[in-house]
Amino acid sequence: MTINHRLQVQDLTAGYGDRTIIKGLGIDLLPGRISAIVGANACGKSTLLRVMARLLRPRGGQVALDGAAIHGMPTRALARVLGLLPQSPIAPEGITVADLVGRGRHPHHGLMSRWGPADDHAVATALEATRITDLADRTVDELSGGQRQRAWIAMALAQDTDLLLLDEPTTYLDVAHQIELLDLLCDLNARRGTTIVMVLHDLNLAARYADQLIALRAGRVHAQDSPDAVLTEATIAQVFGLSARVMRDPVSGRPMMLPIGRHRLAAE
Amino acid sequence: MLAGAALGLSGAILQGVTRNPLADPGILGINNGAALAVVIGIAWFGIGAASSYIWLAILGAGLTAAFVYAVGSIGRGGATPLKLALAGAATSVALSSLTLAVVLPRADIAGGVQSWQVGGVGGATLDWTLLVLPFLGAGLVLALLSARKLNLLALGDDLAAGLGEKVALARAGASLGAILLCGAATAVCGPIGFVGLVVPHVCRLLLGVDHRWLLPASAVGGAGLLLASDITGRILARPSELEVGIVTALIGAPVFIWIVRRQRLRAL
Repeated sequence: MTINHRLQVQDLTAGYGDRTIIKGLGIDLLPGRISAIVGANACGKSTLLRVMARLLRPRGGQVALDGAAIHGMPTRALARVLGLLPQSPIAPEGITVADLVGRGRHPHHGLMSRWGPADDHAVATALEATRITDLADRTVDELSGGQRQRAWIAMALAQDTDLLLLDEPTTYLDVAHQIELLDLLCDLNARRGTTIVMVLHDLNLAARYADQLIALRAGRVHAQDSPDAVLTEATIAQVFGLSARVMRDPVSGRPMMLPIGRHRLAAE
Repeated sequence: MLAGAALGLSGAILQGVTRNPLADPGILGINNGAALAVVIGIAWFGIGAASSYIWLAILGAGLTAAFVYAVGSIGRGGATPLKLALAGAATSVALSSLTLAVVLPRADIAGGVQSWQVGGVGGATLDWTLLVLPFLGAGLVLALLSARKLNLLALGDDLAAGLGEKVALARAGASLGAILLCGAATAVCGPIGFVGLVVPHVCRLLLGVDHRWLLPASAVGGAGLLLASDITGRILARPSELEVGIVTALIGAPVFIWIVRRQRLRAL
C-alpha cells in the first residue's frame, strides 16, 4: 500500500451530555507512522479516539481525512480506510477465530456481494501476520488473553485499512504479550505502511514504540512531538502532576521515565 | 406453523439486537402488549375485523418493546440482559393482568378472548393466514436484511460502528422486523410464550453464532416446535385439546432456567 491518508483533528470540541471533555483540540497525525496518545485518567484520550473513529459527533471543529470531515462521509466507505479496535470488544459466545476475523471484511461488502477469494486471502494474511493460523477453528472463548488480543488485531487487519486506531490495546496483557503486541503493530506499520494511532497508558512503552507522542491535559493537547521532545521531566510534571526522572533507555535509545513517589527512595 | 416460524425468528432477532440471551417476545412482554391492544380493541371499541386485529397487535407490540427497552435502560450500564428481562417480565405480568381486567367485566367476549389468550392455533383459518401473510413477509425481509448487521452488533456497538454499520438504524430495522413478526403471530394465535426463547438457543448450539444461518434456522425450528406442541397438546388431552401456549410453556420454562443458570450470561 503506497497511498497514505492524512488524518487531522481541527479545533475539536466534544463531550457527553452537558460535559465538555475536549476543548479546541488540534492534531496533525504523521501519515505512515505510529502515534501514541498519552495523558492522565479522564483527560479525554478515549473521547478523542472515539471522535476520531466517528463514534462520537464533535460539538465543534472536525476530524478530517484528506481534508474532508469524516462525520459527513458514508460510514462504510470510511470503514475501508479507517479501522478501530475498541478497548473492550465483545466476542459472541462460541464464535470461531476464523469467523471473528472474517467479520472484519464487512465494509468491503455491499448488500448483495458474496464472500470471495479476496476475502479468503485477507483473512489468511491476517491470521498469518498475527501467527494464529493454527487457532483458526478454535472458539475465541478457549484462547488465552494474549491470543485473544491477537485475534482482535487480526480482525482489524482483515479490514485492510490504511489507518488503525487502537484504544489501550495492551490492557490486561502481561509484559511479554504487551511487547509482542506492540512489535506486531510495528511489523504492520513497516510492511504495509499502516498509520497507527493508539492510546497507551505505559509512558515508557509509548516512548519506545511511537514516532510521535501526543500528551493531553484536561482536554487539550499539551505537547505533540517526538518522544525525545515530549517525554521530559517538565512535561510529566505538568501532564501527570508527578515528579519523575527521565533517562535514556539503554535498550532502545529512546527516553524512559522513572516515577518519584514519597516512599522507597534511595538515599541521595 | 407460520406463527411458530415468526416467533422463533423474532426471538433470534431480539436476542441479537439486545445482545441478550434472555430476550424473547414472550419474556420481554411484547406478545402480551400485542394481546392487550387486541383485547382493548375488541372490548372497548367493538373492533371485529380480522385485519384490524393485526394492526392493533403490531401497535401494541411496538409500544411495549419501546417501553420495556426504556425501562430496562434506566440506571447504570444501560440495558443489561438481566435488567431487560426483569423489566420485560414485570411489564408482561402487568399487561396480562390489565388484559384480564379489561375482559372480566365483559362476559360476552370473555370465552373467546380466554382461549385466544392462552394461545391456540386452532383459530388460524386460511383467511387469517392470508391476512397476516404480508406482515410476516415484510418482517421476514427485514429480518434477512438484518442478519449481517446482527453479526456486527454482536461484537459491540463501537466495533460495529467502526466496521461501517449505522448501529441505531440497524437495531431499529431489526427490531421493527421482530415486532411485525411477533405482533402478527399474536394477532392470530394469542401470546404464545417461550418459542422465541428456546428455538434460537438450540439453533445456536447446533449451528454457531452466524445470524445468516441462525435466523432461517430459528424460523424453521420455531415452526417445528409449535407444530410438535400442537400435536402433543391434542394427543395428551384427547378428545379435546391442550392449548399450544400451555405446551410451549411446559417445554420452555425448564429451558429458561437452564439458560439463566449457565455461566456466561452476559457473554452473548
